[in-house]
Amino acid sequence: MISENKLYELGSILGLKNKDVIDILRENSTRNEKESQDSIVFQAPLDTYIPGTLYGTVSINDF
Amino acid sequence: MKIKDEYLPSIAVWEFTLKCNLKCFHCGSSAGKTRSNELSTTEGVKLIRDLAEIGFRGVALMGGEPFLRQDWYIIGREIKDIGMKLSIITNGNINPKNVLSKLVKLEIDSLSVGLDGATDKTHDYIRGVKGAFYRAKEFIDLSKKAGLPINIITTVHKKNFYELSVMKDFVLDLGVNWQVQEAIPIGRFPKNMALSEEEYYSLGLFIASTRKKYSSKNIVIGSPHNVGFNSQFIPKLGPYPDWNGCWAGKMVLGIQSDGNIKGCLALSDDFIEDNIRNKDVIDIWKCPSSFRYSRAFNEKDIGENCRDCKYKMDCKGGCTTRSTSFTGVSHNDPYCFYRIENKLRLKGSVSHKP
Repeated sequence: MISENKLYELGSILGLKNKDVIDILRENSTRNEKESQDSIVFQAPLDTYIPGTLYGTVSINDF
Repeated sequence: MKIKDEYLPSIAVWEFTLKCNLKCFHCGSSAGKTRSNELSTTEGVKLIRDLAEIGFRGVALMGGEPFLRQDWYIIGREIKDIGMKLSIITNGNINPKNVLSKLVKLEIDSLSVGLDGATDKTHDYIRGVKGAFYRAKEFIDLSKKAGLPINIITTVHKKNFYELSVMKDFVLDLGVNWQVQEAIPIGRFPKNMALSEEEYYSLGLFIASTRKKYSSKNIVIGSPHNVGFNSQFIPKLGPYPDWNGCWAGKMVLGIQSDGNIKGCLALSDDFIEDNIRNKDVIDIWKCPSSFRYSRAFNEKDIGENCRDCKYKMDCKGGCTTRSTSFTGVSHNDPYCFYRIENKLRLKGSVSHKP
């Protein structure tokens, strides 16, 4: 079993601090809890996706 | 013939020309010279009309360098007039005066520029031409000033991996959206320069952290639809539908500049279905024997990397291009966050309470 330490180590490769990794874990945990509670899955409509580009002109805040 | 409803033609990616004015060492198309038999303007216009008839919602023009083709505006106009979204991916080493006002007129939906380093030293080395960095940066600045929907795409490998945190500050100063993606050993990119599995996971953490920190600045930071899968720790890195198998031949389509059709442009030539000079793209799309590796997935196709995975029937072994380029077979993608977590024994025991 591991180990925050391995995750911290992987994060630190690109300069993340332990706190940054903890923030990611919290965000993921919140998302998982939300999805299990109300079954809402965060999805973009397919027509907003343009391969090789970032979301076309649609902001992440539009979803 | 009716195609299954699950095939939702979304975006066709067209290698508009193989001609290129840069010599990027990670180029997945081995671009440089024009193919000897590239599609004509007339053939291109028919292709666009056929794609619209199938139901594709957008076309992405890439290369090579798409702006080196003289008829790019005609084709772009056709795409927009027919009601599809238009995206262009460029290296930005084009005289902005020749293209920006036309792009504004076209109301292009997405314009992406490849930028692979925070300095000219790194970018020019990767792109193989001196001055490429400053030309790309000027193109980005002027595109932004013109109000165009500009994004930066950074392709990551061992040459620029450790520069990403500097790159982050540089991109945020530019104030544009940023797509970060890993290089895959296709075209002329050598496998030994690809990120290791641990580096890839680290990249996922980096993207998640950067996106979280800067979400309030209205700058979107993310990765392509095929990043990671089913991580226990890394949140979704983009607003895409949940991954349920490779999109090749189901939602996306690749068109080579000579008319060859693949489910995804990044796939090797082994995956060419046919050529639109032999058969209309509509018939290729509707043919029951097309894109079998993707449309007719069967559990027995699963490779050894994914055989014992609980997600295998949904995930279908990840990205076909990455799987085949790294392992030689489909449905065996090693660059999977869930797999890497298991390999590193990241088994969900991590405490993250404050």
